[in-house]
Amino acid sequence: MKHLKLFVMALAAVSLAACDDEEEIANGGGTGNGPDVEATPVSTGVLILNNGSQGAGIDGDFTTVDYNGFVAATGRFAGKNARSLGQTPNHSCIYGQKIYTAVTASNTIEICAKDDFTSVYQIALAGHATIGQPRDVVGKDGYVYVSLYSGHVCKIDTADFRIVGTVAVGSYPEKMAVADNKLYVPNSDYGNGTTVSEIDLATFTKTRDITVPANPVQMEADARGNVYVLCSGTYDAQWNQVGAAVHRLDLVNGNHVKVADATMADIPEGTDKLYVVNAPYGAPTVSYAFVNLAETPYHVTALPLEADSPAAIAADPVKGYVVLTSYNMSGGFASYSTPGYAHIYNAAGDLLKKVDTGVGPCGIFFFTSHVNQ
Amino acid sequence: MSWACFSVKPGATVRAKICLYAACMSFPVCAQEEGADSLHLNGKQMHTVEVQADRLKWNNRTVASQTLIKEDVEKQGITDLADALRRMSGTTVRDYGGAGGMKTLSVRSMGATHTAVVYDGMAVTDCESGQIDLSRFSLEQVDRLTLVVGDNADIFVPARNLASAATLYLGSEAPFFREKGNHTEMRLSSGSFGYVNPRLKLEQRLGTSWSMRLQADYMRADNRYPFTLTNHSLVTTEKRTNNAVESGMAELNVYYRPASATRFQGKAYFYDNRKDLPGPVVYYNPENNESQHFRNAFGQIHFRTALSGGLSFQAHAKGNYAETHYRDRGLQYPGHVKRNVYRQQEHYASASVLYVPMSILSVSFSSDYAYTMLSSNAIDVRRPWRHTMLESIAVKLGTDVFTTTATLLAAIYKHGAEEGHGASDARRLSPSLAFAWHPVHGRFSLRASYKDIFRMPTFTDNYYTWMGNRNLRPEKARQLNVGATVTGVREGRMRPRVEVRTDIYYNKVRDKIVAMPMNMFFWNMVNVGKVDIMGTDAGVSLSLQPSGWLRTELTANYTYQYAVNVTSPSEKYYKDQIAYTPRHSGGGSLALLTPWMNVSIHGTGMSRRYSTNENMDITRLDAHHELGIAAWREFGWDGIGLTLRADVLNLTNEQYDVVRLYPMPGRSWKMTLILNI
Repeated sequence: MKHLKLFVMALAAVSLAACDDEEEIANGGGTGNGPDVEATPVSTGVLILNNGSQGAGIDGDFTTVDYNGFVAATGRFAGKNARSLGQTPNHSCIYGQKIYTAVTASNTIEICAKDDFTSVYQIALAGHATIGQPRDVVGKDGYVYVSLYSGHVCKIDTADFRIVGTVAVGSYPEKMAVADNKLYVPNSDYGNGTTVSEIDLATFTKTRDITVPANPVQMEADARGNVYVLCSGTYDAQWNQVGAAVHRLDLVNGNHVKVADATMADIPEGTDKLYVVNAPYGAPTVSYAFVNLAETPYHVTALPLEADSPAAIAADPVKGYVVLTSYNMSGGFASYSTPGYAHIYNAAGDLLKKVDTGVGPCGIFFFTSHVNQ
Repeated sequence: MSWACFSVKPGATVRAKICLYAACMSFPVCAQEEGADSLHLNGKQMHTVEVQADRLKWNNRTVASQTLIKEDVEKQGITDLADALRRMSGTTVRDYGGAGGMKTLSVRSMGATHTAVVYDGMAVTDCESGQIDLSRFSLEQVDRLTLVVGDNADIFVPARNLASAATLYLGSEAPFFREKGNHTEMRLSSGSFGYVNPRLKLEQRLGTSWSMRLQADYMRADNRYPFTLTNHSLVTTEKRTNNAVESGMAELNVYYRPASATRFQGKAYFYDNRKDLPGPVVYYNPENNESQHFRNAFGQIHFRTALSGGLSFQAHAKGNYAETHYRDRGLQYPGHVKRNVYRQQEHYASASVLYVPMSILSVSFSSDYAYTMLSSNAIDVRRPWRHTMLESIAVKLGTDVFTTTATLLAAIYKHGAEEGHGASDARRLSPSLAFAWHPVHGRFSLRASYKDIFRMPTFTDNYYTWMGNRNLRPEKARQLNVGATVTGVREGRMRPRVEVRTDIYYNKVRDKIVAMPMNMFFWNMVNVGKVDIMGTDAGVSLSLQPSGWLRTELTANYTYQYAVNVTSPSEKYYKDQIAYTPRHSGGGSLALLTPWMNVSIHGTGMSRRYSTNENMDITRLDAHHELGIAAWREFGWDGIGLTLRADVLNLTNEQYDVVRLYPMPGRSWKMTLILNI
């Protein structure tokens, strides 16, 4: 057993150095495995969260794409549970054997089984005196942390789904990330925000606010514990979007270093890779790029991806597939009330498959699991 | 406009109200407007031709128009203004549910911003949204409502009354007094879901030439009605919450008629409405904390007189002030509350001249000016304003057999703001032409009309924070209509009276102003839509008197609309039916009138619709219908009249939405008591 462990760790070291996607071992944070077994991670498919469209009265739901034959299926939650996932589910996380989803307009957190979407529990926040409108979910060490538009982050025990703690952060907190047992929360303040809150998970208290460029909307963390923030920037007098970019935060002195211009970003869990879409409002073209975060100065490599109107981008931490979701067009503009689609590319940028999704495919997650050898 | 209103109540004395307009029928000026029908002035025939004489009027109209008078409202079991409009052809009413809930009218799929509402001769305007919420008008407030698509047959109107594709005219007449110099009407209604509506009307003669009418109305309702919520296989009964409404209205009209050709009317109006907004139904989250407080006050005057040489002159003026306070409570807002305030004011004046050189020809010139200003915290300029200058010329040639009307409207709009850039200015020429052939006077007429008109972007379209677009062009609507009306009257057994009218139309809307997403967070108003509309309206009314004590009246309306989105030919959803527009809709009513009790059964229905311009299963709203029944009885003693009435609405408790996720009430009842002294 000991030799096996040594062998696997050596392999991990070699893989990290080689930057070879296919064989990289990812320590997927929070898979719930015990610390004494290293396992080969496997990725079986993609989970796409469709926001729906509240204005058109369309509910949100999941689309799954199985890598086996690239078979896609939509309406997974309603199909299994004979009830709606709710209105405007904003983000999910696959943690342990379950999927946790923050459903903002319905004011619920839905927990369902990751293999067949059977509903396990629904936390309904309607009528709650202090917290409401869940936005994002992140899992760590048996707890799930939820950012809420009421200006809080709450801590939920995954054993019994009780809310065991609440911390106040800034206004309109968005997508969070965990690094070094700290939770980072971007306070977008509906476009006017300039801070990221840092929460120490051991004590579940806010330790500081870090000043960042305008409108932080998403936090990411790489394999080495660096923390990045995607800021959406501002709009100039002609309504052009300026300053949207990914920045790396210097956690020691609170500075930041720009990595790449971007309006959407993803760092696959446990990797040092950054995938970005740059489609600022007012720009004539949309660009897709990749950055190797282990190399400084940061070098932006263009990716040959395509979409009518990109909704989200993410890459599989195990297989390296890049998934780009998009809206379809109607009347010459992106249609927010009709089903969209997803392009799945391999690591080299070749299109493997186009699949139809639901309406508003804004969340992309991967079914990865560790298989014991 | 001239009209005469008669009412015959079985078992009671005949009460005829002749409005002064009809009294001046003998005058060339008035006679010209309608193609004089001398039947009205022959006292003997008044009794027998009564209500029908009214309907005969619009046979001669050159455009499609539908009229409802007070008596129609009773007999067809119509409960409120939205209900009245639903019974007409070519109308789509967007109803958010419950008493006092927001209701807007789109005619022939052109959109609610193309529908003007004219109240006693002057337009009711809203520069912020461009749409009028019809729930603020009650049917008791008006004596007649007319929906006209195109230009009204009466050409002696302010230029602004010619500036919309469709116009809803709400009109009240000067009070008519017989021996007694005053008249009082008190009404009390009560109904399901906490609905209470007391109403008072006082009419008083103030000397030989002066009279006044004062009306006041208060309404409140909880609107906590049950509805069925279907969440896939989870079907539950919920209650609509945060839906209460409280409103009050007061209006004073003063009339001065020193001579038959000279008249003056002044009106002061005040309306206040507090409404909790229920919001769309959201799964798992019944809370909604939005509310709105709307107040409106206006004063308007109208003066008209005849000058020598076939000339008449009239002037209109209006000052309007409206305020909307919108509030939403939520944990996510700074201070846990969000407030939007809108204050708008408008000053309007119009002068018109009518020249009638000979009986078959009349020419009218009109010149209007309006100054509009909006002040709001939800827009990103400071106090934008608009100068509107409208000039119109209309020519009407009318013989016994042909009527032709040609109108040209010249419009100039100038914009600016106290701080920030104003919207683009605009100038347009809008022609319209209408023609009618009535070979058998009062029995058969054919009509054809064409109108090229537009609507200006609203201040919300231009200035709303983030979304507004200063460079919007006006939205254009071109309409072509062809129609016919046939009327039959027979004396003798059953005394049948029948009227059939049908219209076929083709409309094109271009440069339609829609909100389009630039990205997920940033939507902008753009002129991008194109809609083609083809449709048919048809209506029938039949009156029979099978015996001395029973009269039956049947009305039916049907509308077919093919209204499709033709914006992008290459796209999947090209030529899909536009949102919220059914292909088929219609309604009908049957009234049985006897001296002991009157009963009316009525219904409306529409075929499936979609909540988006893309017709997909996930946005489909199924077909629905609604039936109702009403019963009423009138009593009269010694100059006092008492009416008791009971209504049951949605008899079969249909559960449906007009607007997606806004369920309508199920079965409900209403009782009304009316006292006339």
